[in-house]
Formats: sequence, C-alpha cells, structure tokens
Amino acid sequence: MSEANEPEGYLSAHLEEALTEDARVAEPGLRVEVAGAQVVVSGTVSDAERKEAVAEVLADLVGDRALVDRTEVAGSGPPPQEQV
Amino acid sequence: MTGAPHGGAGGLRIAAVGDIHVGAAGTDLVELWADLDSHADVLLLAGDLTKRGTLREAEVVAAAAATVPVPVVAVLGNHDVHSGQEAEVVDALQRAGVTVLEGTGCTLELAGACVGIAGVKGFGGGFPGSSCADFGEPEMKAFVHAARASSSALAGALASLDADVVVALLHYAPCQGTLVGEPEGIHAFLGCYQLGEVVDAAGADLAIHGHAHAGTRRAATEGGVPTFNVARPVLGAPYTVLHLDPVRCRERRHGATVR
Repeated sequence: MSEANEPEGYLSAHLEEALTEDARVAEPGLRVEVAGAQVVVSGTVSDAERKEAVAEVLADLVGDRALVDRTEVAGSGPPPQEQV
Repeated sequence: MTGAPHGGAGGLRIAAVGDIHVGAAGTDLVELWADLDSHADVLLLAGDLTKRGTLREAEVVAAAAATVPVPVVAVLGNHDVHSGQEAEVVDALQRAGVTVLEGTGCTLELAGACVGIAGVKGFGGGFPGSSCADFGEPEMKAFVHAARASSSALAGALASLDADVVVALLHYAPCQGTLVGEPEGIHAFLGCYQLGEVVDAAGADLAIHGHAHAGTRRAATEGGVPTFNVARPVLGAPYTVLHLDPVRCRERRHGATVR
C-alpha cells in the first residue's frame, strides 16, 4: 500500500505495481519517477482509454504531488519493413 | 527500416505484432488489419493479445483476427494467462480460425514455400552473466524449471517441422539484444538464453518475440539467428512486415532448390 509521504523510491515501486495490477490499466511496462513534489509516468499504453485510466489510478495514490503524464498511446503508423 | 525489402515474385512477407493488449471495450486493430493481405502472406501474433486474459477480451481479439484476410498464427503471453482462463482464450481464438501454438508447430504453404512455425510462450530466467540457476529456494527452482520446460517444448516443436522456412514464434525474448532499452535489472524477467539455444540448435531462419515494450526492434541470438521484437510499442505500428527469400532459406537448410 502506498503512502504519499513514504520514501520516493518505495513510492515509485508501489505506483508501478499499481499500474500493473489495477484492472483499469494492467500495463507492466510503465515507469514512474518520483522527484520531490512531482510524479512523472512514462511509457506506452495500448489505447486512449487506458491513458485516462493511468491518471485515475495514480491520482488516488500520489497525494499532493503533481502528476506529469508522459505516456503515449501505441502507434498506428505505417508498418515498418525489415529484410531478414 | 533496415535494408531494402525483398519484394518481388517469390518473396515471403511475414507480418508480426505482439503486445496489443486488447481490452473488453474493443480495438482499433479491425480497421488497421483490414488490408493486411496487400502487405503480407501471414500474420504472427507474439502474445499479450489481451489486457488481463479474460474470455471477453479474447473474444474481442478473435473478432478482429477473424477479419484478417491471411492466415493468423499466435502464441499467448503472460497477460493472456493472468486470469487463469487460458483454455477459454485459446478456444475463442481457435474458433476464429487462429492457430494457437504452445510447444507445437504448424506448416503453411505461402509464397511457393513450406513455412514452418514453432511457437511457445516462453519464460524469464535471464541471459549469460545474469541468469538464474536451479538452486536454493523451491520458488527459485520453480522459476528456473518453468524456463527450461518452455525451452524444451520449443525444441520439440522446432524438431517436428519439415519446412523450407523455419520461424520461432515466442512471447519472451530468446536473446538480450532486443531488450536493449529496458532496464537491465528486469532482463531476467523478459526472456532467457535457453530459448535462444534451441532456436540456434534448430537452425531457425528467424525468431520473433514481444514482451519488451521499451526494447529494440532487431538483434540476433548468440548463434546469429535474426531476432525481432515486435511488441507494438516498439513498432509504433499495428504490425511489422519481415521479408524473406524462401529460396535462400531452403538452400541453406537443404542445399536444394525451393519446390
């Protein structure tokens, strides 16, 4: 269980675990850095709905810290080509 | 883009993607896969097809896969087994026409060649210099046993194939090169060298995996087998297309002309 006043490293780990385990997000590839009054989350989520859910899940856990959402939605660009 | 696509008559085009993490609400992939036959001969799905491995999510994936105008072959990933409904997930995919591999192989006639695909989810365990050993606590032994069992299953699947082109389809990584970009501390949870060993021993033409969202698109096993991390976050696209020359693959394997 995360506490907003716990050491930054532990809070970072707890927040990453929450993003993996919460059914609204379920994204283990996201990274959370806690630095002072700021929490920065980054990585790629599968769709826009899950990007919104990241903010919802973290909002309940970061206390008074400001949340900076640097997550990106998985790309839909042209398929890259590779010669094997 | 790495090198020029082979293209032209006789070229084999393999579309591949993993880590699409489809939720119950739907997916944009129905539209993005609709014209896949103009780009590729087959679609390989490298696991983590669902968000939490529920039947409902699998049905959404299955509905999308059913619209794909080329054969679809898949392995499951760790997300797909999270809810303990993997049998239902597999059944939903199979009913949609998807061939689901787990320690098994299949062959397809594509681009004038027999293409063999051996698939397994795989597991973690680590790579030379930071691999786990069968020692100590029962939990650690169980972790290592799972990696070794998965690799043995892949070896059996590869050995069962008699094909011009041999592809190893995995969720976990068989080499460390495609994990570059991920924190080194989690590499042991993203793949294991034993998978690479069996890919090399079988002389596969390529290996495909997902799981490492922040990894690198292309590298090679210790034995030099081209290996592609096709996790959608790595691709930035709904799939990649890998171009092979089946004549060269067959000549390398059999020393004969492709049939």
